[in-house]
Amino acid sequence: MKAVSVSLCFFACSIVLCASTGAQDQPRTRIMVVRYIGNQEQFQSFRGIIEKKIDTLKGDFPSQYIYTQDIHLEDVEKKPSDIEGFWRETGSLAVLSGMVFPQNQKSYVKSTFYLYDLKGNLGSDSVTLDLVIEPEEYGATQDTHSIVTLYALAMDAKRLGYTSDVVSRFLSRAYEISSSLPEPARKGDIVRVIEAIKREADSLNPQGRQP
Amino acid sequence: MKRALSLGVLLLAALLTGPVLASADDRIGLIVPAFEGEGVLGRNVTAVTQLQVWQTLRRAPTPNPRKLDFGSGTIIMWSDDRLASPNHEFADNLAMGEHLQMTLWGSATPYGKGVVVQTYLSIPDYEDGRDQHNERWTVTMPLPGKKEHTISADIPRRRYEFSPIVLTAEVVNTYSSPRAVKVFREKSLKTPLGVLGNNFEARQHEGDLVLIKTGDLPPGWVHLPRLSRERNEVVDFVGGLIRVFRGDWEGVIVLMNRVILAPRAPVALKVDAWLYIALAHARQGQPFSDAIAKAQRLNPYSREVAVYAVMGEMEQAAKALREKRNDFVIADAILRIETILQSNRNLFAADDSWLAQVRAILHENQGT
Repeated sequence: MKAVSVSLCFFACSIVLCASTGAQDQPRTRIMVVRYIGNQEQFQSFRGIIEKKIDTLKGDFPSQYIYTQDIHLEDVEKKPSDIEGFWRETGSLAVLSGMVFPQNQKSYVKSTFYLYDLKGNLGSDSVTLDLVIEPEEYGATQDTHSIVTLYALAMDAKRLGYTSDVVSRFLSRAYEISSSLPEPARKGDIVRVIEAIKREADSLNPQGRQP
Repeated sequence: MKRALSLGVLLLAALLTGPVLASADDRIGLIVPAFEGEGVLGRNVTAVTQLQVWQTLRRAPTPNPRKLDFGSGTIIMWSDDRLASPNHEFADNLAMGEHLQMTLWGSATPYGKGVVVQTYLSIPDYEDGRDQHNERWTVTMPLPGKKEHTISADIPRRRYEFSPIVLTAEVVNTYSSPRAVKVFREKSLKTPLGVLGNNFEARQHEGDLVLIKTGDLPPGWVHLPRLSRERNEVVDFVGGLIRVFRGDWEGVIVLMNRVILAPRAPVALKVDAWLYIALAHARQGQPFSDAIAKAQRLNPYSREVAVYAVMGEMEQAAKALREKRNDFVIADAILRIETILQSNRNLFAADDSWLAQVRAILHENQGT
C-alpha cells in the first residue's frame, strides 16, 4: 500500500519537485484522500474498497499506458484550508473529502471529488456522491468512484495533449461502467458526470501525442 | 506461491467418434487460487465457484447430431494458497506458471452488515504452446492474383471484473465453517460421508450435484448452492470463455446469452458476450452482424467493438472473394470497412498494428 501521511515537509518537497521537473507535463496519478469525518471503522472499510477498485482499474489498461500503474491513494490527516491550492501543489488527479454518518440504522457516506482543471464538461470543480455502506451498495460505491476517477484520467490525458485513442480508452471504460450503474444509483452529481463523459467522447479530436 | 495442491479434471463417460475441434495437445485450463477472506469462507466460496465452472464444461453437446467432439483437454486447477498480491499481474503469472490460459480469483470481504464476494478473471497474453487459437478471429483474404493475406483479431479484453455477489446471511453462516461442504453417499444427500478436503477430483455432474472423490473417502455427492439470490454471470462467462478457447461454438452461444440476460452483469461483460456470440456465429457460417451491432449499441466508444465490426466485414469480403462473386459485393464490403474505420478513427492509435494490417489489405485489394 502506497498510502502515506502528508506532512509540511512533503508539501515543500513537492513544490520544489513541481518547479524543478516540469510536473505540469506529467500525468497526475495521486488521489489525495482527506480523512473523512465520522465513524473511522466505516471510513476504513469504505476506503479499502475504493483502494481495491483503483488497483484493479490499473489492470484495465494496456502496457503502453504505463503511468496508470502509478495511480494510488494517499492519506491526508487534516483537511487543507485551501483545497484548490493543495490540489495544485500536490499535482493530484483528485482530492477526495467527505463524511460517514448514521441515519435510520444505516451508515451513509458523502464523498466529494475535487477536480478543478480536470472538470472538463462538468460545469463545476467538484462532484459529490451519496452512498450507503451496505453490501447491496458495494458495487455502486465502487462504480461511481471509478467513473469519476476514469473521467479525471481522461481529462488529464486531454490536458497533456495525448492522442484521442488514449483519452477515449478512459472514457470508453467510464462509459461502460456508467451503463452498468443500477437506476437507483443514477442520482445527483453522477448523472452530470455521465453526461460529461458522453459529451467528451463525442467531441474527441484524433490529433495529439502519445504518452 | 506454492504449486496448486489439487486439480479437478473433466472426466468423460461418453466415447465419441467425430471431429476433434481442439488439437489433442492443446490443453485449455483455468486455475482458481483461494479467494481472499476471513477464516474458511473464502476457501469454501472458491470451492463452490470452481465446481460450478467445471459443471459448464462438456466434451460434446447433447444431442449431438453432427458428432462434435471438443476433446478432453480441459483442466481446472485450484489452489489452497491465495495470490501473493491480489491483482491481475499476479493472477497472470499464476496462470503462466501452470501453462494455463486463465485465472479466476477474488475475495470475500465483510462490508456493512454482510459479506461481498468480488471475482476477477485474468487471461495472460503469452505463448502457451497451443497450435490452434480458436479465440482469435482470423480471416484469410484470397486477393485475386496476389498472395493471400491473413488478419487476426485478439480477444476483446484480457482482464475482467464481475459484479459483486452479496452473500446471503444463510450462505455466510453455512460456509464460514470448515465442515460446510459435505459429501454424501447418494444423490438424495441423506448419508454424509465426510467433508470436502483440500484435494478432490470432480468426476460427474448432474444439475446442482457433483460426484467427488476426496481424500480417503469413497466417491460421494456434493450439493452446490447458489451463492446469491439472483443468477450471477461469473460461472456462465468463464464457462463460455473456456468454450471459446475450445471451439465449442454452439456452447458459446448458450452460455454467453445467459450472461447477456443476467440482470446485474456489467456492461463490459455484455459487450464482450455479444462479440463472442458474433465470433461463434461466424465460425458456424451463420449471420453475425446483428450481434456486433448490439455490442456497438452498448458501447459505441470501444476500439475492440470496432475491430470486430471490421473483422465481420473482412469475413464477408473473404467469403465473396472465395466464391468469386461479382466485384460489387467486394467493393461494398471495402466501403463499409472504410466507413467503420473513419467513424471510429478516434479510437485507434496512429501506430495501431492491427489497423496497419487492415489498411495494407485494403490497399492491396484496390490494386486488384
